[in-house]
Order: sequence, then structure tokens, then C-alpha cells
Amino acid sequence: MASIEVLNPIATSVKKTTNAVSKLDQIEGKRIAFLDNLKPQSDQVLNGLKDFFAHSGNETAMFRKIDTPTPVPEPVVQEIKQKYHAVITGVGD
Amino acid sequence: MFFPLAKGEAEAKGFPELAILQVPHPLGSASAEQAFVYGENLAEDVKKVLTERTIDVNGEGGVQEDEAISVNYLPEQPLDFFEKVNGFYYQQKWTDGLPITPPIYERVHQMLNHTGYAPDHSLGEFAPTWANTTVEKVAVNAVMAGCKPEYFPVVIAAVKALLDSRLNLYAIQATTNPVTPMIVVNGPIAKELGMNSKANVFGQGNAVNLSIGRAIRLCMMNIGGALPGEMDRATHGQPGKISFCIAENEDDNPWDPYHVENGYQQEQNTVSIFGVAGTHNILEQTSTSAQNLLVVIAGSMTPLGINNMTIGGEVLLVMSPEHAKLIKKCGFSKDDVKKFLYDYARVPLSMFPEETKQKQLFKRRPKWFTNVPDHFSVPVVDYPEDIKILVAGGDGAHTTFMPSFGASSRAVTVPIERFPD
Repeated sequence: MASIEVLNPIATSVKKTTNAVSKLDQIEGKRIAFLDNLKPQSDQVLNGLKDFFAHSGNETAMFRKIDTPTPVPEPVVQEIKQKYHAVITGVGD
Repeated sequence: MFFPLAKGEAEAKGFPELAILQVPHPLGSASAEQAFVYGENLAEDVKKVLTERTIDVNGEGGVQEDEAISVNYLPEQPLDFFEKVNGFYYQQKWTDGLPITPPIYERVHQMLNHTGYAPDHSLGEFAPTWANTTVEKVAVNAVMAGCKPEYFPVVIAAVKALLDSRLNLYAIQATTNPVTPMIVVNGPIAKELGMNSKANVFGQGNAVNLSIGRAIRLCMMNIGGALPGEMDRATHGQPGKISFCIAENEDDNPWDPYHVENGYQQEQNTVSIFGVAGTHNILEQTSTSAQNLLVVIAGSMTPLGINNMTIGGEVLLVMSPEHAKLIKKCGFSKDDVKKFLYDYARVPLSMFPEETKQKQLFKRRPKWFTNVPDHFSVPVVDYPEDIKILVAGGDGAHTTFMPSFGASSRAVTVPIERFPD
């Protein structure tokens, strides 16, 4: 029996340092943002969620991507970060 | 259906706890009322995950060790090593399904001798896992694909182009669309390496074209992490996802080659990448005028369901020398061709069905579909310059039309660096 070494083709550091996702201490009084990815009917799903939170007394706002596969522009990201406590969005079809 | 992608990306970015909830698929064909109810039904769960922690997070990274793999084999059996390596790599999902060249250290080292970069030099983060793309990992995948060391500068340039944000590799890797990067090489290096730019240019038969294209796909799987059915969500895919690399036929091109059109010198070597959703052949053998031929080409660029009709962006035409020379002989520059096709490759608004307009086109391409008269015709691209033109292939009266992924993905051209220069 002989032996030869071969190299591993997958990336060395696929995973980065694990971080905790920040959580809200409570829902009451929080501002919730929604981000529509423009896929057909995704706006309706988010509207259903948005109505729920609005009826619960939360301040809500709907943002829209420029186009589904295009990353959200940085100014929009910053606006959501600065003005809202949480953001709900969708991926896929 | 995108749950594996969302989960995989959240983990890759270091947020395994990110709350992901699902609505029933398919959503696009659900009524507005039904989709609204899907949202309402999720609301309590969304409220819960906004406040409650779902898993323990210990703060430790998930770095995978970069270890060589020792393969035992029977030296008296000539194919034993090859088969053992291939069996193991296939089982690990590290191949495209075809046999690979075992990436032994010596072969990888030879590959690395054809770049000025250190093995651990990072070319960037590779979507969708956003993994660190080291030159050595690219070399390992290039060896596996069957590349010779002298092809490596082309592979490195192609990876750089892939990672350019204008191409939007994340979307290409993760979409249900069949879109895939097509690699185009310009400059003297194409001939030096023996690339095919002529007969059967998209087909079988040339080891340089095929192995470079294959190396890029292996990088997309092994470094980017887009495995079919997992983070690669393609519904059908396409054969070009195995390997899709050509050289432009500069010998028989009556216009400036693509890289010169884009500001490079004729003697410079470049790689361009186009995200293409497929190939559609256009046969036109009877034309004696550019206008006649271009009307046929324009009429072949306007199916309702291609990505560009929905979301704009670039399209690619690969003309045979015969078609290109006829058009040039009639006095058309490339810009003239683009302008002509922009005007003629259009679909009357009335051809689009109402549901598609209401649910999709009004939102995603409003410029052409809202506040326009009924007799308006919608162009396949938003601007003439979004029509890209290459010349490649052998004898024959054919042009290949390739729709793209739409406006979010743009063609990218980068120079090829050779070492020693």
C-alpha cells in the first residue's frame, strides 16, 4: 500500500466568528421596518405582517429594493438602522 | 424553497441565530388576498422571534481546518489512486460529477508558479458563503479541472472578474434562474494557449476552453459554496454551468474586438465575464443587407419570458464572422447595430398579459410599463449600449442570442496579469 497527499479544494474559513442576533426586550413601542424584495406578492405578505404590527400600536414603514437581485443601497440600510428597531424582509420566490 | 440558502448564508456570515420563517411556495401565483393571509398567519411567530433567543451562541468561530488528505492506494493497480481520490471527492461534493485530476501538492505548486501572488493572498470574498478566496484554493480547483499551469493567469483573472461587485455573483450563484458566467478571453494569450474561437466555439473539443471554464465552476462550488439544490437554487440550470469559456474570434472580426471597444489595447490580454441565461441560435442565410439580417435578429431577441423583458439589463449577441462581415460591409458600426436593434427589438405593450403586468412588470420595469400609451412598444434593453456584441465561431450564417440575468448583473472585463511578465 502506498500513500499520496491531495489538497482540500474548499475554502479554509467558510464560517466567520459567530455573533448573537440582537433581540428586542419587548415589542411594545418599537418601530418595525419592512423591506420588499419586489418578488411577486412579497409585498402582500409583508403587508399582512405590517398590518398586524400597526394594529398592535407599532410604528411601521415599508421600504422597497430597487430590484430583487440588487443589494439594498447603503443609505437605505443606514436609514433603517438609525430609525427602526427591527427589520423584516424576504428572500426567494 | 430558499430556506437552505437563507440558513447557509446566515451561518456563513456568523449569524446562525437569525430568525427565518417560511411562507408556502409558490407565492407568485397566489392571489393578493392569499399572500396577505400568509403574512397575517406568520405574524405571531415573527413577534416571538423578535424577542426570544432561539439557540445558544457561544461566540466561537466555525473555522474549518485546511488539512491535506492522505490517500492510500495499491501501486500495482494503475488506476487505484485516481479512482480512490475521485470516489472520495465526489462523496464530499467537491466535484462537478465528472472525474477530476487529483490535486497533489506538486501540481498545485506548478500552478502557483504562474502567478506573482502568494498562495495565501486573498482575491476577495466568494458568494454566497463569502468565503476567503485564496490564490492557493483557486489553484487546487484549477488542477482538479484539468488546467495546465500556463492557463492559471486566465483563471485568476476570471476569478477577479467574478468577484467584481458589478457582476453580482451572489445573485447568479443563488437564483432559481439558469444564469451562469460565460468567460471570454481576448488578446494574444488566447492563441498562445491554443484556445478555440472558431468552429463549434461553444461546444466540445478544446481542452483549454473547457478546463478554464470548469475551473471557474469548481471555484463557484468549492470556494463559493453554491452546491446544486443547496445554496445554488437553480430550477433547471443549463449545460453552460459545467464549463462556459471561449475566446473571441479576433482574426475574422470586422470591427474592434470586445476588449478594444472597452478601452484596452489590442495586444493586451483580458477576461470578460457575462452572466448569461442560455443560448438561442438565430439562423439567417438569405440576407444581402444588414437591415434584413438585423430585423431577423431583432425579432429573435424578444420572447416575453426572458429576464431582460422583465427586469432590463444587458443582452449578448455572438455573431458569426459571416453575419458580422455582411453587416460591416453595409456600413454599420457596432454602435449602429446596437441603435438599430434597440429600435427594432421591441414588443407591443398589448402582447403582455394582464397578470404579468400587474404583479411584476409595473413594479420591476415601471419606466416602460406605466404611464405609456396602449400602442407603445417595450424594448428588450433600457439603453442601446446594453446590447453587447462579440464575434466568434466558424463558417455559417448564425448569431447566438444570450439573454442575461437582468439589470442587477453587468458584464465585467479585467486584464490578465502574467508572471514573470
